[in-house]
Amino acid sequence: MSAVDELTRLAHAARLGDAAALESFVRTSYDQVWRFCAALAGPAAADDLVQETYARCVPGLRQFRGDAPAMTWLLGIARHVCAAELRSRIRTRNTAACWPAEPDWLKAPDASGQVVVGDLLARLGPERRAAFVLTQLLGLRYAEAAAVCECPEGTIRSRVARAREDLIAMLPADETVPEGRRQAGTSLTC
Amino acid sequence: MDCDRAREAISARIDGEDPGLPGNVIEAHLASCAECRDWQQRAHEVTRRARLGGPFLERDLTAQVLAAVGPALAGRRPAGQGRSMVQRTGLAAVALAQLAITLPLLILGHDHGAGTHAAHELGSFDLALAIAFAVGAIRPALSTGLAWPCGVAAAGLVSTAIADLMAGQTFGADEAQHLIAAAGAALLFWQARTIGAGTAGPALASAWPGDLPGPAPTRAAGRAAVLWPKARQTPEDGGSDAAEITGPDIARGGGKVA
Repeated sequence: MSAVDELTRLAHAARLGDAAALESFVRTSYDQVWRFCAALAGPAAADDLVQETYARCVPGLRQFRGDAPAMTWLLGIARHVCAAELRSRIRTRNTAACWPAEPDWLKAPDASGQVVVGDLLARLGPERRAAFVLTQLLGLRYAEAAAVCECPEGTIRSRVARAREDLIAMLPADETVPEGRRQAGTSLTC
Repeated sequence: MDCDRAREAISARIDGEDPGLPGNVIEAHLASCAECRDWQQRAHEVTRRARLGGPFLERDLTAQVLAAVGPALAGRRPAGQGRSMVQRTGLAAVALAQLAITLPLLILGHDHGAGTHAAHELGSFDLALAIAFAVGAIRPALSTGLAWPCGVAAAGLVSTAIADLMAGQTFGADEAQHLIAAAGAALLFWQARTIGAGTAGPALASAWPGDLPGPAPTRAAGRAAVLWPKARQTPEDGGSDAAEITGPDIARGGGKVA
């Protein structure tokens, strides 16, 4: 995970007042943080939530000691920001803002013309969604996802499996198993 | 073995993580359970497609983020931090002094000529002030709400003290203690102003997730102008960065670029 190490190095440099390092820190991590926020709280809210995440993280860089990778630290803040946002929506019953009615990316078919699974993420429970997005979309290891979610690694394993279970249940059976792959097998090429 | 555990292990194995079960146990279950074999196939497919999907970044607002947070770390931060320390230390000292005045009233029920019950009531009032100053020292973000009630109380104490001094009903030494309340209220107003002015909020100084403040500080008017969609409604606020946004605005509240 050299990208994580690079980000941690940038975080240390930015912490000491290196403006260029701060810029690189934000540029390097922006995409990941945005995708995480968008998956947790919906793409419409993601811009603001990402900005809020950095607004909390950057002044806190001075306290960043580097005992965890910077990306884990940053995504942990993003998770809290998104959770606060979701709580406030529940308070105000502003559920319409959670997900736009028909965002384009919901409808976008993948190369084979099938509806992508991404839209179904919105229907997962928040904990399973966070675990699934961190490990599958952002490519974090279970241990790193556990640090972000402040839970044991075994909990991440269980949440990812439950998320897969939910996604399989949501997709029509004929879409989850492509032709020619129905024979029993234990191949692990994925 | 039950299928739930087996599927958890299968799922972890797809991700190349520790399945929590020996490989031969998983294989034995798969050999005997057609449903889990089917589940494994579907899990692979669902994973493949999930990795292709999901929301992707449409517009990179890095520049806007940097414009909003950069100064917090680079220039203003040390000054803001020093000022914040002065305010918080001052409030802590005032809270202690106020507490010292309060305890004789509350415990001994003694205040000049006043009766025991009146002293208790005054003590409760003074204790409330002491707690308010302490809260301001511990959670600076709350000083916005504390400043006004404490300010009114302090103004009342000081002005009545002056009036009574001039009428010769009290002595200066007795009334000097109200200056503590006045100092505390002044510190709260100062702190509330600093937070509202949009410099790096002291409440955000510690940004470790477990120590995050609630949504309240983010609603502070000053910061909102810098960080929230309002900045896009008025490009001059965000400078050239805000003007760069030309795509359809997908922010909450539908703030459009002018």
